[in-house]
Amino acid sequence: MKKTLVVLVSLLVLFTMMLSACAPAAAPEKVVETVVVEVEKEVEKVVEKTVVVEAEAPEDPMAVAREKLAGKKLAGILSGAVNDAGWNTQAYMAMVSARDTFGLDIAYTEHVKVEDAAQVMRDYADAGFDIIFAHGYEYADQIAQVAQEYPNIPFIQTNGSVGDIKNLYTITLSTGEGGYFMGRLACQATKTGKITIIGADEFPIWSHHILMFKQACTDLGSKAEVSEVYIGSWNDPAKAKQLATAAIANGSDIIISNADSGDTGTVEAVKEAYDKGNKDVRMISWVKDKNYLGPDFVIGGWTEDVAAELLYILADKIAAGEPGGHFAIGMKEHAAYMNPIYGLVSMDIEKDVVAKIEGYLKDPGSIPTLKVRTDL
Amino acid sequence: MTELLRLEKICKTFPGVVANDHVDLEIKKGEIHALLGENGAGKTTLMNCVYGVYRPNSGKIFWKGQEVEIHQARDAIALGIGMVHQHFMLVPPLTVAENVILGLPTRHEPFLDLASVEEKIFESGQKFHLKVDPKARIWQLPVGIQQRVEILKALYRDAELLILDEPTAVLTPQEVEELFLVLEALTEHGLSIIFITHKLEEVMRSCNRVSVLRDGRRVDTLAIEDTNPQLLAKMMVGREVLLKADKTDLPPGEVVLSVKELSAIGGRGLPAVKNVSFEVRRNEIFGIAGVDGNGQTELGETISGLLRATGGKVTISGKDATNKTPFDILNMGVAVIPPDRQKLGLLMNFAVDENLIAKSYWKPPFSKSIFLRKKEIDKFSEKAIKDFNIRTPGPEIQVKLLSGGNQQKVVIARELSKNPDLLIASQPTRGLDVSATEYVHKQLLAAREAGAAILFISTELEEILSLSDRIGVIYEGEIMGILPGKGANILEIGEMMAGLRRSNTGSEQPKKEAENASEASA
Amino acid sequence: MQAKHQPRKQNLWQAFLEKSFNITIPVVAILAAFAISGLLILGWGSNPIAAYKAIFQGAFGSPNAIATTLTRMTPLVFTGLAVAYGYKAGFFNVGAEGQLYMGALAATWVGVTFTNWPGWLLVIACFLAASLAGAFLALIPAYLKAKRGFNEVLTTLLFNYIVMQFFAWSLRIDHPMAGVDEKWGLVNWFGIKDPTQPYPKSAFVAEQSWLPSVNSFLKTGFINSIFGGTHWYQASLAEPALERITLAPLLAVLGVIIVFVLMFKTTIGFRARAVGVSPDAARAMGINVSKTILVTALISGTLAGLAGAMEILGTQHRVMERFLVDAGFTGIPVALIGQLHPVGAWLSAFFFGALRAGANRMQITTAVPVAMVYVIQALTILFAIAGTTIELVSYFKKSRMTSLSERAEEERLSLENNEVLDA
Repeated sequence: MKKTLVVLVSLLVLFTMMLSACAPAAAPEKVVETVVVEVEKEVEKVVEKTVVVEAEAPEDPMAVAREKLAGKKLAGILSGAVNDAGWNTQAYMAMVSARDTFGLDIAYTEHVKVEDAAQVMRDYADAGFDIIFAHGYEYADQIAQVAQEYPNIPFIQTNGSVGDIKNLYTITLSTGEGGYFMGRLACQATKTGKITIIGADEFPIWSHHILMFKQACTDLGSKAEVSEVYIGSWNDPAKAKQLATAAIANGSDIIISNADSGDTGTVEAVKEAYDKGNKDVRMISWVKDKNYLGPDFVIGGWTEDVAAELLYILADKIAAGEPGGHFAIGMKEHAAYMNPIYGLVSMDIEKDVVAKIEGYLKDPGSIPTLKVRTDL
Repeated sequence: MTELLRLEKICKTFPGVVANDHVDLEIKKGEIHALLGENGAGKTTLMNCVYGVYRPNSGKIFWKGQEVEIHQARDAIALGIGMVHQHFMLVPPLTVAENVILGLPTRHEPFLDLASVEEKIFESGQKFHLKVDPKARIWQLPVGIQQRVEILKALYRDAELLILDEPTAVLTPQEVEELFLVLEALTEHGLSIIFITHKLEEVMRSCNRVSVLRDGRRVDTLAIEDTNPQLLAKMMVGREVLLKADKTDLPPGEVVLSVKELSAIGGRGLPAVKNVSFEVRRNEIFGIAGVDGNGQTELGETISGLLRATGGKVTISGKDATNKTPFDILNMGVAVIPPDRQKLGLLMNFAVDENLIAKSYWKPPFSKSIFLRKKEIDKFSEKAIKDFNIRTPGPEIQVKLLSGGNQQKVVIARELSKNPDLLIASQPTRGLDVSATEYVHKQLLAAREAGAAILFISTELEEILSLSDRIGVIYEGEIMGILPGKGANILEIGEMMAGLRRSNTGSEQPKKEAENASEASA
Repeated sequence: MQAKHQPRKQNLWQAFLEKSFNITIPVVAILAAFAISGLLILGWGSNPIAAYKAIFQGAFGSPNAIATTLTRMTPLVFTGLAVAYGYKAGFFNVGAEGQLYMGALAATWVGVTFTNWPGWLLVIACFLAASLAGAFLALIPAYLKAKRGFNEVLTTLLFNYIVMQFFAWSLRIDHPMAGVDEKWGLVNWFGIKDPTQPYPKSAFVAEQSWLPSVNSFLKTGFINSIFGGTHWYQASLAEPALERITLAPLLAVLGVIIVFVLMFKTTIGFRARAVGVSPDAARAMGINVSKTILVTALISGTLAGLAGAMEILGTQHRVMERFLVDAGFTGIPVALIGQLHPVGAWLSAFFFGALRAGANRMQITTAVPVAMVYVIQALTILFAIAGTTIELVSYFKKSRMTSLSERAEEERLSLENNEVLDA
């Protein structure tokens, strides 16, 4: 009886190990690439955009960067599989666009556990990699330690906060801009005076965006009622649809949705309302322009872009020979921007928001109430 | 009678062991042929070679005069050889009929044809005294009946030779008698039977011829008329054996164990011990006779603290011992030889030395605070191994690797080396061969002489009669009567064991009669 | 006739062998796993020899590699011991994962709370807290098993999930020592989050509680005064890997020795093993089975809790979610491959640690994915179980036994004859 039990439990452990061994598809790059080719194209678009903007500068820093970085090797430390269609796919796409933009060689390790991260970084450093990129807050201690052991190699970490190591570049998004401008858009566009923000989970960055969203409404003198609800998952369209349907029934005509694959549920709920005759209802997408899901009612919304973050650090800091530090990246660096509105709000409102954004880009002081946080 | 099976110079070796060494054997049609030998003499191995479980390294097998090769059990069955193993190969949830045809094609494949099978089983039952309800499920049947199903299985496959591996080991005396009737009926119909055993009285009782094996070699084959138990024992063990215990007269001392109106509920939730009262004194062996399963095991367990008493009182050396923990009772100077040494008596994965100190490891000199003292343990275990003649390559060997007899020696060494006031010996010779049984008897008598009070529980009436100073007979958890050992009437005890008679005072019988009685039983 | 009873001398290794530890099975299992994985690697299109060489390089090829192997080994030694000790006594502790996390949480909590305590006291307090947390967690399933007959495999396993939830919750509650934004009151004392951090992490434990490293040992005045001028001394000081080799692996060895003594040389271990072999027989021999189960669970839980404390004080110095993944669960294969023997657990933890440390090197230099080491681990477990199940050991022992017993018997007979002759 006991022996059977041991065998069973051991087999269980074994299977788990096998699964974790098979699932990640820690295959050579090529395999993964074919999977995500589609996504890749979009990233290329973004890259083009960046190039165009930078081209206005007198000297082309991209060309300089390309010269400096071509042939160098970039290693990525990822916490999950590159095909998770979320956090790690973003990082992978960022690395791919860095490869294509600068002619880097890239390699990465998936499913890196916190306790293994330091050694993985050392292995890459010892194997002659020139730049090491760790994606996620959890690697903060390890990357700081290893960066000091290899002072000649630049290290990049997303969502890090260390700012005093000369070869460690930690990046966070400037938080609050997206919330403010979407708030300005939504509070003018609402006709019922009710707005619902559907989030997947509560986390500091999102909370600050919402704070700024409400600030924008206050600045407008709008009396719009802004409520926030959470799904509790990044992968639950059914729950998202429920929440959206309830919000619309409650009188909300603007729904902001930030829930990864849950967004499709929100779209469905809005579509049902729209088809039933509620032609004023609108959804604002976040992270990615989802207008293609519902051209009649989905506003492009706001995008914050990891690829742009990485490219910015590589070109403007590392290739330029700037020392490490903590960098908050936002609209100024083209890592955050508003997507097309598709004419789904009145022209006046669109003009107002665009003007406000242009003014802000010229002089951030033009909106004193917009508080950007770089510590989240 | 014509020859059915002949083995010529069968050799079978296992790594490091020669199990069969040039064994010749001849089985005639219609005989019951006993294969006698101590545990490990190679009886079962030899029969497994015949049945195709093992392949002999060399030697020839002839079946009805033709040389045959038996590669697997299926070949043996096809020839007409059936074997009933010590551990039955039955599927408990299935019925008797289903078990009998298991693995055989039916007449109307793929449909089962149980009705005709049941009929055939019923016919065989009539013919051979093998009455079994073909529709009964195996798990509902007592062990004796399950054995019949095994025999029926072989008969259904048209066996002409039936090999029974220690068939009586699991049976009550009554069931043994019934088995012998069955075997006689089978031989009357021309079947041959090989009867593997180490019990002399069974050989004398039921067999036509006997082959004795010792250390893998055949010593001799004799007709039963030409031999006697004494001779067989000598052939089997290789030296003279004391079949009857040598007991000195000792006056009983003060009362050590006193049991008053003790009751307990057994494992199946039914009352197992009912209102039992008796006393055991120093220098006295108090035997509990009875057919297995009549509460004698539970009685021993209740006194040693393993089973809760639901009523009554146990007093040991004047102190109350009712429902005390086994640890407390152990500390009252009580030694216990449990009925199942592998389950309760020994820690099978532990080494010999660890088993020897398993009841005293916690006290000096074997430990100091929480630390075990290897030196003292070694000293003690080496002495015990020598004193009790435990055959082991060393004290650090796991007991599960020892033979049954040596395992029991470990138990006895542990229990007796502390000079107990009370010894509860529950079936101490179960499953042991002749020399090991002799050894256990000697040790019990030695303990008696050393001043212990001994509660001796056994289902073997012979040893109860030869060792006990007084005998209590138990039937369905009740003591039917207490008789003096000297001059006990075996018929009277037999009737009490069957629950037919009850007596409260032991009647004194003339000495002569008692001797006659015990001889008759041998 | 002289020297009849020459006492047999046993060396240490034999002593281990006698206590049911057989190194054959694990070694054969590991070799077989490497062989079969080699075929897989060949199928993958890479050279298995090169891949294994890379693993070896990554595990032992540099001071950094060795430091990593030792660091990965340490928690596995403790969880392996926890499982092995529990299992020996029939308490199959599948909850080492949860106990490890609780241990880490408790150690961290002490380490961030009593920041003004001296180092030695704080370290002891951290270890104590971790042991208590682990032991407490194991005690509940043990009580349910001993008194109520609950299957400990289920209860310990399910407790892991409860603990993980508590752990995640605690990481999101601001710990009051660093100053809390909003005062929540009493509940903060269950929290561990560093309020100055945006992410659910604790603060670093006080620096004096970090386990001393080889480097800090070298820096002590005593060593400095002896070797201060030598070249290798200066080189060692500059080697960052020596900062990462801490006292923890040494404490793991100490743990192995203590568990070995406890298991085989004390009455506590004797009782535990007896209950593990057969609770019925143990009870018949006067052993209090319930109490033994409780004590066993306490020891097993303590060891698992210490695994967490070792990782915190030795390596990471703070907790966050998934700070040490599956070390508790891996304790089960570690113990099984180690034949449930403390020394075996240590060796197999070393093996697992080395595999983990070398895995990425293999991927970088030979393009064989990291996942291959999980395949090797899994195959090793499979073969080890197969080896134990078919009881190769007892088969070999039995044949050895028989020949031994024959020899013993011959010896005895010849002695008897001689004595007769002497007489």
